[in-house]
Amino acid sequence: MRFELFGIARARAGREAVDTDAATLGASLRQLAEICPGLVPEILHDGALAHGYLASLNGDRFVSDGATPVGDSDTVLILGAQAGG
Amino acid sequence: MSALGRHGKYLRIDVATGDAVAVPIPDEVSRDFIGGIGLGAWICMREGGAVAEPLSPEAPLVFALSPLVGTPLTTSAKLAVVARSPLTGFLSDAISSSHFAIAGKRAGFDAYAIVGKATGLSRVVVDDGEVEVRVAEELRGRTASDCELDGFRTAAIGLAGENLVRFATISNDGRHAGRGGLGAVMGAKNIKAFSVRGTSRVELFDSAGVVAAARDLSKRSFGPATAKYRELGTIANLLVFNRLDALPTRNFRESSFGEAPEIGAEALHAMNSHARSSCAACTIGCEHVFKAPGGQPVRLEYESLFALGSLVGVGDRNRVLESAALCDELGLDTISAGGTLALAMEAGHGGLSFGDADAVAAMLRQIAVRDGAGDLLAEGSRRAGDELGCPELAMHVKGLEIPGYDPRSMQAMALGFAVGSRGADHNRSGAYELDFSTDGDRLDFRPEHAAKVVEIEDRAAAMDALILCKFLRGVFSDFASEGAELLRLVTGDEIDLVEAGARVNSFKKLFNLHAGWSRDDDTLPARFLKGGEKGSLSQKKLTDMISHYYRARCWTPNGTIPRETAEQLRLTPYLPSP
Repeated sequence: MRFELFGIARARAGREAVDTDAATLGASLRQLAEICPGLVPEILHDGALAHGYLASLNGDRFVSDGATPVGDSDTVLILGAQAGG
Repeated sequence: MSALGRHGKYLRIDVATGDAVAVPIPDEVSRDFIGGIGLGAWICMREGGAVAEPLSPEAPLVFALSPLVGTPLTTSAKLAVVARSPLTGFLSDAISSSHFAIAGKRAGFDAYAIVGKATGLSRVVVDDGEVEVRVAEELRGRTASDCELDGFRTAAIGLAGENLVRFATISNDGRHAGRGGLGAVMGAKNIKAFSVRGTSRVELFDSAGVVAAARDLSKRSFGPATAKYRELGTIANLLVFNRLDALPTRNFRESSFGEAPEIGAEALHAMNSHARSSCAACTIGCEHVFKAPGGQPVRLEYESLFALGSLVGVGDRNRVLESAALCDELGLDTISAGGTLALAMEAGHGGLSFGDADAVAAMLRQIAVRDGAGDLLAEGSRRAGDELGCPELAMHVKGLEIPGYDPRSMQAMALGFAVGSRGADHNRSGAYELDFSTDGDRLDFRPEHAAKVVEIEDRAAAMDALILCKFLRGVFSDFASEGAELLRLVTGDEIDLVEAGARVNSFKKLFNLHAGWSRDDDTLPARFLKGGEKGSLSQKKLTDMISHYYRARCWTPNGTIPRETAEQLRLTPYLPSP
């Protein structure tokens, strides 16, 4: 699956997208932390998203359960929860 | 002695006569309405603002401060400007920041109500409680920033306010009370500038406690909850919303913009010279100031970026910066300016077409001076759409143009827009918070979400009454208790902020009922109500959403306020006659 990073997550990782191959959201986030250590601990903490950050599965719904299954064709957007403008 | 944290009075200034009267604010009003939009709305109602025509001499224009203004609490240097909007006909309450608020409090009052109409273009000066209305013809045609007065802090209008553009702003310290056309209300009074200074101070209930709380809050304000605002600014929203099909594009005909990467935060930060700044008494520093091609600095927020970018189909960041600078200079609300231009583009009015940045710049100038096709557009999208015979192309609620959140794909926000007391409004509702969470479903609003929308709206009202910056939201783990403690340290009052927020929102509805609100005013443009699959709205669904909202507020099925709810919120005296 592919992570797309936005805002502060993109700035910390220094890249827009990261591919991983785990089967669940939690395992994918742990892979993401290894690939992009700049996300730890501000955005990724103990294998989960830190408070104030969200994961959107394919842009359709926000997910937080580490057991959420993800597959090759999925995209998870990592973005800040603060949407105010 | 003054009440703790307050002066306990507002200054009523009749600019027709130059007379000024200090009006006591009852203690129970100070406790129930706190300050900011709450106190401002109460004063506006008391001064007859709900029934006076917005641009008439009788209409009051209120500048309301709060108990927290002047304390070291971060982001507390704020004011609310309140009047009946010439754009909507309903209550408008716009918040601005910085030194004017502090100077206004030191001048000796909790608020200022300006009524009447000066005989010529004038400046109101309040110097430690002494009032003078000075002829200021030399300021005609000048920008707000040209109206500074040495030793004073000044709020002023630009060309648009002078020419009664219905979405003109009032500006101070480079900040703007932007929405609802309050600059036109000031212009209708022939008041170009309002300058204040003073030496008056109020006693605090627990000064040492306030200092300690301020230190703690400042420290927390540097944390991850505000990183987005500090490092990228609100413009970071653009690419996110674009990816989520929530970015209003070409008058809401589309919800994503192919040129979004060209105008997004990353491109702006990478390509344009940039600096950061902050309001007075603020530790967040969310202002991101870019250099426009002409060299002038432009503070750019997401709302200006979307309204002058994707909404009008302009994908050149430098042209967006130019337009934003022009709006600031002329004194135009960027959201309403973009929304009205987008209507004209879709209607083919004034030679405008989507993506034509040259025409945008020219038309902004024409709007500000009501020249040619700009005269009609100066009336805002609703009136322009009616006049052009295409009301269905005007994307507004109650006459206020819609901010940068597509209601179809952010459905909690859609409800917030529809029921908003000042019209389509992301600052008084903030329901996007539910859309951006695992608690809601942004593509499929459900009845149980209505109570959360009410909760978010009430919290926003409490923050806007205190007044604290909403960018602190994520800093508080429990705003109701933490905010109440800040207020207690300042005033000694123990206030239930959940109830206070509900009271302020219901009071604003009462104001609107006096101003002629009806159930049909709570709706969205038909463009958003075409039904269909998930990620769309229908009229029936929206009606159901609104009904659930009224129920969650303990209002009647028609959206009015029953006596029992008014009694519970201590609002009975303000109920309209049956």
